Amino acid sequence: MPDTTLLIPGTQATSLADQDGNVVYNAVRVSLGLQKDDLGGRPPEEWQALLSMEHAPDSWEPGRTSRLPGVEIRPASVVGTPYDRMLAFSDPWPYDWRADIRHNGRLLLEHLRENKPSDGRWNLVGHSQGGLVIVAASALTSSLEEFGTLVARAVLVGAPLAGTMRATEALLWGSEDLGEAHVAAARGMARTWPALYQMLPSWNAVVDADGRESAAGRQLIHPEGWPGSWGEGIQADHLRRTRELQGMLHGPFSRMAGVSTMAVLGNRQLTPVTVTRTGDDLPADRTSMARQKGDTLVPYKRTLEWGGRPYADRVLAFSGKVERHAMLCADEDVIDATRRFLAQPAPPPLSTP
Amino acid sequence: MTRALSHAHGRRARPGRGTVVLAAGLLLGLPAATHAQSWRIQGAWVGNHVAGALVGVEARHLLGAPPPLPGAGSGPVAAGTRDWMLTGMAGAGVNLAPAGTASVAPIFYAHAGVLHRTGGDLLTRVGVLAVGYIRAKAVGPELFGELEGVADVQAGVLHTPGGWRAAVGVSVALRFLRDVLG
Repeated sequence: MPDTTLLIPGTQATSLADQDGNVVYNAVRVSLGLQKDDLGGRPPEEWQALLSMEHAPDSWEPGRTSRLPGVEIRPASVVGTPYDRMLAFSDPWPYDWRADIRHNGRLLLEHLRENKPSDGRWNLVGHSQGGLVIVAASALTSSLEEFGTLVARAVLVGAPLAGTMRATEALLWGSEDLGEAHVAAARGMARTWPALYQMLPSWNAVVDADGRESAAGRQLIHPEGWPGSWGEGIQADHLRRTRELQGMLHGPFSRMAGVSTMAVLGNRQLTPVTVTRTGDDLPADRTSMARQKGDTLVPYKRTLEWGGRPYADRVLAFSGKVERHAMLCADEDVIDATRRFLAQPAPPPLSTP
Repeated sequence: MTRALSHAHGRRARPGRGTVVLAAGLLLGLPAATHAQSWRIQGAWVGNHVAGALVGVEARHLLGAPPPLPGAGSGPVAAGTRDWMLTGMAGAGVNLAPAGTASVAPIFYAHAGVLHRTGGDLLTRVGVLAVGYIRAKAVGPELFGELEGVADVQAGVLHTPGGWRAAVGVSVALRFLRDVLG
């Protein structure tokens, strides 16, 4: 059997369903404006509880996948719109993109082990958070050699290894995906999702009025960085998870011995990298964010720096008219580069001593 | 469609087995040789001659040399995008007869053309296509515009057995429809 390709999609790209299989969140539908039966057809006052999670400290696995009594939320199918053309040569791997990225890394590793192609290895393509899940899976292997026995090739497309200011935005101000009237509910539920915290910037993204990096205690990956009412709902346990995962993502290919690896990054669109904080208060809106080139979500230079040298040697950086982050996997050039890379010979797995 | 053409020309149209085989061949052969593909559903209208819906697969082939892939010790490889691409599509569906008749017949569609990225953030593509509704014998040029990689509009003039007719087609990626319909 030839190597089999698995696509691990990005944040929001897996639809979520309740225990009866009814889809309660489909990002493509939500992006077109909420319909009557979205969010399970439940009233707006239940939305925050419906999509909020609970985690016991130190547990990667969610304690509850919904705070609504009697409801359990599960990953359903991967939306096709951003991945249409990638799915022509890969199979989707749905996961709950709200959960601790290490939890999903562990689930992916189990899947790779239990379903390994009989006479081949896996090819993995991870978009956005999906790339982080792949790195986490490699870091959780039992030995340096194991990942290479399971996986022949891995491609990370727009993976925010160093984090993204989009996570800052969602946690700080709230997303407008559910409509302007429900920003507070969106922010409230987002503050219960470990994955969002884990994608906070690893660099000092909070700067003063002169653009100088603020002290560590004012950065948003520390509890002290969320003063007064700004910190309502912010979970110190999740911020600790952030710091733990960031260590895992540093040098992302270090546990991929015997795996042929490539990272695809966009280096075209303006992408936020800092937010200005003056005085004790946090900024009330997005206007103080400074931008550098990236793919609208992943800043290019910051990610290269975080990845380190072996990572940089494997980066294909697209400028030109490459698509924005959410649609990178629909870009013909990105698809072509991915297909050509997957067609190349892979190194043999390292032999166990 | 067969009956519609019979009305128009006083003779029974040939089934066009060769063109059916050609369309089927395109349908099966395009995906393997190209850089990107998607299944689409398309509605079409050509004067009062062709009106119908079909499902097909569209495949694209980028023009120009591909960027080198990164290798050990290479450092980041900077790549531009290839903005011109060929497109080919083949599909099959049902054709409604001209207004006032009740016939429904199979129809086969194919197009080939060139597209250009405009560089917008909405996956915009524009282009020129050679379009043929094969069994209906409607062929000609159309302009093409695409949004977000999921929906496109084609418009032009096609030559039909009844003469030149204005033509419009709208197609949507099937996966997008599946996402929206849940």
